[in-house]
Amino acid sequence: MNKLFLSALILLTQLNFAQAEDIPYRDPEFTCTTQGDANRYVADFRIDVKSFGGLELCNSSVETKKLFNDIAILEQGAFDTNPQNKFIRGFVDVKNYYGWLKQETRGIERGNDIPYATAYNSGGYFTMQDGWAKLSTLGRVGTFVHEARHTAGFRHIGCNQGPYQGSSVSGCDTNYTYGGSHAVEMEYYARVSVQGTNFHPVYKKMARLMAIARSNIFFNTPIIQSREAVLALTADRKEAHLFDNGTWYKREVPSAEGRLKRTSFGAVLFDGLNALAVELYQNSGFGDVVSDVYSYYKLVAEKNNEKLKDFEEFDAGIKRYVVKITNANKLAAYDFPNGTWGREQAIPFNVARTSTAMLGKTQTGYYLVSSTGEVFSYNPQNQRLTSQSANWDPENKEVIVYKGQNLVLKNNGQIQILSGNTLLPWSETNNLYSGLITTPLYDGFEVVKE
Amino acid sequence: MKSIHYVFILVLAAAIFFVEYDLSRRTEKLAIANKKNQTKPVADTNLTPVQPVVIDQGENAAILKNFIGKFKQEAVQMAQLQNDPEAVQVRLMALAKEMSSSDVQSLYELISDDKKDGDQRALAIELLSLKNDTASMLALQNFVGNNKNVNGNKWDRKKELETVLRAQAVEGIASFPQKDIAISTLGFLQSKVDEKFLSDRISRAAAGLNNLAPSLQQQDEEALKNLLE
Repeated sequence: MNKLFLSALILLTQLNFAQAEDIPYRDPEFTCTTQGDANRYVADFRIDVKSFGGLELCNSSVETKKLFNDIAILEQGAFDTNPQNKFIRGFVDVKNYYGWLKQETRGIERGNDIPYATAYNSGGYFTMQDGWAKLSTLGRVGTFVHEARHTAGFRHIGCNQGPYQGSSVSGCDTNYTYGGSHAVEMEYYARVSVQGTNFHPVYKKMARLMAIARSNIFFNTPIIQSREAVLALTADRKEAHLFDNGTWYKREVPSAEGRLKRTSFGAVLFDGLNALAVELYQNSGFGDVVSDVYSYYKLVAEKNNEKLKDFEEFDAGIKRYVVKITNANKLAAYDFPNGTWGREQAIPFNVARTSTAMLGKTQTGYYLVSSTGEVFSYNPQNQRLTSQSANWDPENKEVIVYKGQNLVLKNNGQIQILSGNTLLPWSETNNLYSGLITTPLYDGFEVVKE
Repeated sequence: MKSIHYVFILVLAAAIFFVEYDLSRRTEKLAIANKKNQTKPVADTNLTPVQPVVIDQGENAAILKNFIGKFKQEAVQMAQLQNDPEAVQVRLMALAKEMSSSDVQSLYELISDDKKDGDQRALAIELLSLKNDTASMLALQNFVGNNKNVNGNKWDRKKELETVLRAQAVEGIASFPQKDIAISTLGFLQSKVDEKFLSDRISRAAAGLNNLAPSLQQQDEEALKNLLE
C-alpha cells in the first residue's frame, strides 16, 4: 500500500512539472495592437503617426504604440457601476470614454515646443510634449482625458494654494463642481480605483493615489481633505469638547498641565516638556496619559531635558514645518532632509505668546506676540519675522480660524465669533473654556458619540 | 493484492495521459485563438511599420526565465487591460518571491531614477512591497526618505508622479508583516519627510497600524466613492 502511494506521489509530481513547462509564460505578441485597431485609432483621432516615431503595433518603447495602448485602455476599460444610484455624477459617460474623446479631438501630434507642459490643446488639436512621453501609462491616459476637456472651452486659472500658488502658470480649477479638465481627469482616476474591473492591479492602485494626490493640488477649493473640528478644553480642565459637523462630543483629556495645541494628527496638551495626546475619536475609559507619538511632537521627547516656550507644526504650501522657541527666545526650524534641528536664531523680543491665527485674517500662519502686544508673522521659507499692523488684544487668550471665520477664546472663558468687525458670542456653546484649537479629523475615521 | 496494485497504476497512468493530452489541446487552442486576434503587422501604402519586431525565440525564452526579463514583461502588462486582475496579483506575488538581493538593489536604483519609465518604477515599488523582507523594506524607506534621486538632484515636488510613487512606497512599508518594524519605519520617515501630502500619508498609515483608523486604501476608497456620488 505504501508503495502504491509513493508511486502515485511521484507520478503526480511529474504531472505538475509537465504542466509548468507546457504553458507559455506570456507571448510578447499577445500585447500587439491589431492593424485594424491601429488604422481605426489613427483615423478617429487623426494621429500624426510620423511625429510619434512611425507606426508601431507591438514595441511599447515606441511612442506610437504607447498612444495606441492608452486609447485601447480608454476604449475597453470596464467599470462596475450601480445603475440604481441616481446620485452618481458623471462629467463623462462612463460607458463611452472613446466616443467622447473622439468627439473632442481634432488631431494628435507629438511636439516639444513647450517644455514645461505635459501636453496642450489648441482648438481640439493636442500636442503631446516630452513630459507626456515620460509619464506612466496612467499618467498619459489621464493627460488625454484632461486635454479633451479643454476642447469644450474649460480653462484653468491661477492657483491660490498648493505648489503652483504664486507662479505665473494658470494651473488650477475653481472647484470640482466646475467640471473642468482637472475634475474630469480625477473622475477617471476615481472610477478606475473604485469601479474598475479589468485594469492591472498596479494601474488601479496608482489611479487611487493619483486621485488623492491631485485632489488638493489643482483645485482652489480642495475637494478631499481632512475636515476641521473645534476642540475646546473646559475651564476646569477635566474634559474637552469636540465640535464636529454640528455635533458636540465629550472627550477625555490627560490630567496634566499644558496648553491645548493642534497637531498634524489631532491634539496634545503641551507643557513645554511633554506632549500628551488627546484622543479625538473615542474615549478609552482609562485615565492613562499617553505621549504623542504620531505627530512631530515626538521630536520634543527626543530632547526631554529641554523645556521649550513653544513648539508648533504647521503647513505652508506643500511643505510641513516644525519650529520650536526656547525659553531664551531663540527660534529653530526642523531641517527634515538632514533629520536635525536647524541653527537657533535669536528673537529680538520676549515672546509672551504665540498663535496660529490673527484676528481679522482667515489665513493661518505662525504668529509671535511680544510682551507689549506687538505681533510678528513668521515666514518659514526665509525664517524672517514681519511686524503686523494690529496689536494683540490682551483680552484674547486664543484666536483660531474655523470654516473661514475667526473664533476667539476670551480670558473670561467665553468663545466669540468675529462677524464683520464685531465679536459676538458663538451660538454653538455657552460653556466656558480654558483652551481652544481647530483640529484635523480624517474622513476615514469615525467619531464615536458616548 | 498485486492485481489491485497494477489496476491502480493503470488507472492513474490513464488519468495522467488524459489530463496531459487535454492540457496540450487547450494550450494549442488558446495559442491559435490569440494569434487569430492578433494579425501580424503588414505594410500599408500609407502606414508603414518603421521598426518591425523580430523575436528570437531561443533568446526570448532565456530572457523570460530570469527575473529582469519577467519584470519587463510585467511592466508592459500594466499598459494592457486584464481579464483576470486577481490572477495578475498572484503572478506579482510569485514574481516578488523570485527576487534576489541584487534584484532588490536594481529595483531600488530604478525607482530612485526619475528618468526611468513610470510603469516600471510603479511595478518595482509594488514588487518591493510584496517581497516583505528587510532589504526591500530598506529600499522603500530610503526611496521615501531620501531628498535626492540617484542622479543627485532633489526630487521634484511639483511632479505628481514622484509624490504618488513615494505614497505607494509608504503603503508598501505599512503592509510589512512585522507591524512593529513598519510603525518604527514610518516613525523614522515622519522626521525625514517635509512634503505635506507624504507626511499626511505617513501619519494615516501609522494610525492604521495602531488600529486607530482603517487602512490607507480603505480611507481613500471611501473618500473617492463620496466624490463620485
